[in-house]
Amino acid sequence: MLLNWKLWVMLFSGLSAGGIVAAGVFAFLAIIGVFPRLIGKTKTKNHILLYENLIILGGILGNLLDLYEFHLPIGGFLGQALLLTFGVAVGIFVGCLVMSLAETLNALPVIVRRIHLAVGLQYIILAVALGKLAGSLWYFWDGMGKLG
Amino acid sequence: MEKEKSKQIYLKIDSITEVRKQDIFLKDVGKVVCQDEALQNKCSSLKIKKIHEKKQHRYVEDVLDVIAKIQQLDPAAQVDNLGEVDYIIDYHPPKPSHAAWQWTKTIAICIVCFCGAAFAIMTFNNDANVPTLFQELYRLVMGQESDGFTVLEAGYSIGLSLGILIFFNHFMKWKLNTDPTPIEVQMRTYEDDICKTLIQNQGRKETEVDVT
Repeated sequence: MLLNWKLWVMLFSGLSAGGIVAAGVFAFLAIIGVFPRLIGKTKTKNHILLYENLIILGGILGNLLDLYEFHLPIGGFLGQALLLTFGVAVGIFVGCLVMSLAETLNALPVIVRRIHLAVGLQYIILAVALGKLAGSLWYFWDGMGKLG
Repeated sequence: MEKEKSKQIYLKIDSITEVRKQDIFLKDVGKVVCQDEALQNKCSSLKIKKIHEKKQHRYVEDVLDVIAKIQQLDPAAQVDNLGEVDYIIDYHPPKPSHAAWQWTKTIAICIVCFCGAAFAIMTFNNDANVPTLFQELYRLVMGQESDGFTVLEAGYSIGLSLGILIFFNHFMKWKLNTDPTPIEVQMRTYEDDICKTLIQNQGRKETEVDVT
């Protein structure tokens, strides 16, 4: 089996694909500004290396879990608690991520200029947040995810 | 007769300084160099600001005020500013915050970092349909059905791990080279942006929201 050259081709292309995907996805994560913002808000700059270690571990383990679909038979209350923690953390992360994206693309400044907005920028941001909350709840409530 | 010492003062102020005391002297925020040592010492211990409110705030300051104060000190002084024109004094109350609270915050951010990175790579795999693509590729190259646990997935996982480690340039204590890590670079960029925005906001005191 080890002499089958095709196998080596597959292994090599898998390795390369992983390297390139890692570069893309994690460069995106680093550049989008979610982590500096979270670190800045909590004033925990001295733990940057620790945070990066956790990002690295998260990336590697998340990928393994996704591809190999390991079973983690925890169950019961502990399982629910873990899932809740994961949900809240991912919610915070995605919330920051989508706003960072909108900010990087200058979505809000452009809108503000287009309609000559003078007051109430904070309400627009609040409306965006509430809209996302409502949309997210509706999406999961009605099982919209299953339609696709 | 001893030659008169030059009263040329060179001043360099940092763009942002974190302080914990309420009386701020010039030597806290920057450096002063002058041939006349007495004058240099006087300038260094010049009080440039007194903070009255005991709460955290970032004060945007102007170097012209400092120059005016130095000239009051010695009218013959020639000040040459080599540092920032606008600088920020970031005042924190002296009381250090609780270690337990600090660690709570750190752990919370750790959880967000870990779950966020895991979620990001899973959504990418899902979006790009990586498992299906791998099965297709396997079938094309090997001519038989994939069971989903092939060398492709193994290679991808190893490659991904290597890519992440190379990108972040370190893991735990182990480091590839002495470059700062990506998040350190981004953190610095973010702080510079904050300083720039604070200084620019100070410069224009309009009441309307303006985004030019």
